[in-house]
Amino acid sequence: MAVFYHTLIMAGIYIILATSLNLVAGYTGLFSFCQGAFYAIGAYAGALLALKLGFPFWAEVLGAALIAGIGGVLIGFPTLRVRGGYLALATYGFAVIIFTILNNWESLTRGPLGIRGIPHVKLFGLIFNSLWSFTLLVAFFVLMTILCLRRLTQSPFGKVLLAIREDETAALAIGKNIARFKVVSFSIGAFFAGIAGTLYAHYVRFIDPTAFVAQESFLIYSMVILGGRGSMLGSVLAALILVFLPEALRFVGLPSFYSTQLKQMIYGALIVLIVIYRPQGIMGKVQRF
Amino acid sequence: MILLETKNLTKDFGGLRAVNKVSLQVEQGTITSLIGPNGAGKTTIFNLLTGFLKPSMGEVRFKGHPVTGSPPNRICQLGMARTFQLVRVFPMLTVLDNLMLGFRKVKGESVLGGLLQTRGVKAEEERSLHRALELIELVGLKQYKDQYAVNLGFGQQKLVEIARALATNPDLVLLDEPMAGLSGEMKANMISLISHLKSQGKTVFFIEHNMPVVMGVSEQVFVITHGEQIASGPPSEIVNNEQVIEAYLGREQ
Repeated sequence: MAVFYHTLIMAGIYIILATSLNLVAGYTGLFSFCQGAFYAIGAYAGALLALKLGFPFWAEVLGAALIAGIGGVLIGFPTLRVRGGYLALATYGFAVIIFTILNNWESLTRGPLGIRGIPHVKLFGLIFNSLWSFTLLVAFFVLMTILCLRRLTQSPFGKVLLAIREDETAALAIGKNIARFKVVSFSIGAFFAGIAGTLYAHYVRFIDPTAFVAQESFLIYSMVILGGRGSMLGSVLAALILVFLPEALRFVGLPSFYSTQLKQMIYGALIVLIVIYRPQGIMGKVQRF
Repeated sequence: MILLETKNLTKDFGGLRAVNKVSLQVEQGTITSLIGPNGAGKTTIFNLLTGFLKPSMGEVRFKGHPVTGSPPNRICQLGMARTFQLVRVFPMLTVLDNLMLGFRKVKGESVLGGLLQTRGVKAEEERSLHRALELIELVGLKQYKDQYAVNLGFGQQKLVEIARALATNPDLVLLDEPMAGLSGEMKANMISLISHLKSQGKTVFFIEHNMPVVMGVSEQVFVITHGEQIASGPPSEIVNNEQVIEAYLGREQ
């Protein structure tokens, strides 16, 4: 049962990461490979706000999400001039930089030693120290995230993001300030990744840079591709599949050593198969990359 | 009143002077056309006017204000909308969504507006929908309103693009070869659409190779070859202009 709750919690965290990246990559069409970096910023910011400044949980989540969101603005502006594969490389570079900073800014992050003793979440006099209660907490944030993102994507704001994905030049020609929309899209994606990071920090209660290697961004991006660009439901399903899959392998009776190796191979094979046979993803309707 | 004016508009691409000291004026409420052989620099001039290219020299004034070097979105917001030679619709959006994107100053386009969807935002969307349906009716695409733009024919996509440009509520509409690639019936529709725009008080400035159309609907014609303006005037003068005939047909030996 503990494994089940653990998997649900991680799936919830990845649902937040994947759906919010979908706003950036799926709706706005920006090849962002640094969602893992915003996730890391959120985790570290949350942990430090709680430990060093004693923020209550609600203020801490908000603070961490805002800091990650500012990170989104910071990466959004300089990358306005690059598109496609160049944008992918630039954002990946940002993810590597964040990892390196976390690993080396020892006075703040304690470097490879990591930050331990992150407190349990306390909210309205309740302590979320059991697996099931934390699952509920994550579920609440998952619902809030999806609700916000759905509202945004179905609003005129979301339509402009789609227009930018479909044809930037045409969007400019009808008077849309696409630079502003791109940066805002980046920062919203980062904001929710910040929330996911804070949840993760409070769940495991010990964070170190190895949890946020740059490859993490690829995993999240592959959830968007697998689920379908521009489909929030698709991202939810893909996050569930990719998080539950390795656990399912363990239940089949494979030793964990093999299951982790196998996990990577299955991730890779899934992406290759999807890209060849169903490029629009599980739920998506956009065929082009 | 002069709505749009350029003075010595010049654009160099490396060593190539694509547009050389072009000075033209578009009167408000008229239909004006820009003609010239292929590669003369017509589309480049449109790109300079709408901010997609920055002039190397010279000036663009719109409604009396200098807009030289302003970004395209800014220029559109000032009331100058354009279409493209190779049609640019949003392929995976419906015809209706394509049009609704054209509207300006939409509250729902802010993050808060989109997130909260207050009564004001909802009411605004209702109004946009209503106006979009009117525009769809105007260009005769009512039965396609819920189709993805990608599924429409070339001519229909052109109409979507024009309707979307009109949604920005422009005073001046720049059309880059509106007749190209259209069937006979569609051509007639396009001509009546252009005349209709004038009757609505819009100013139309268009690039075109179809001479009967140019001479039939325009009040003023500008002729460009090799980036230089060689003639301007009403169609009756242009058809008899020696230089224009030479540019199009070559010199008599």
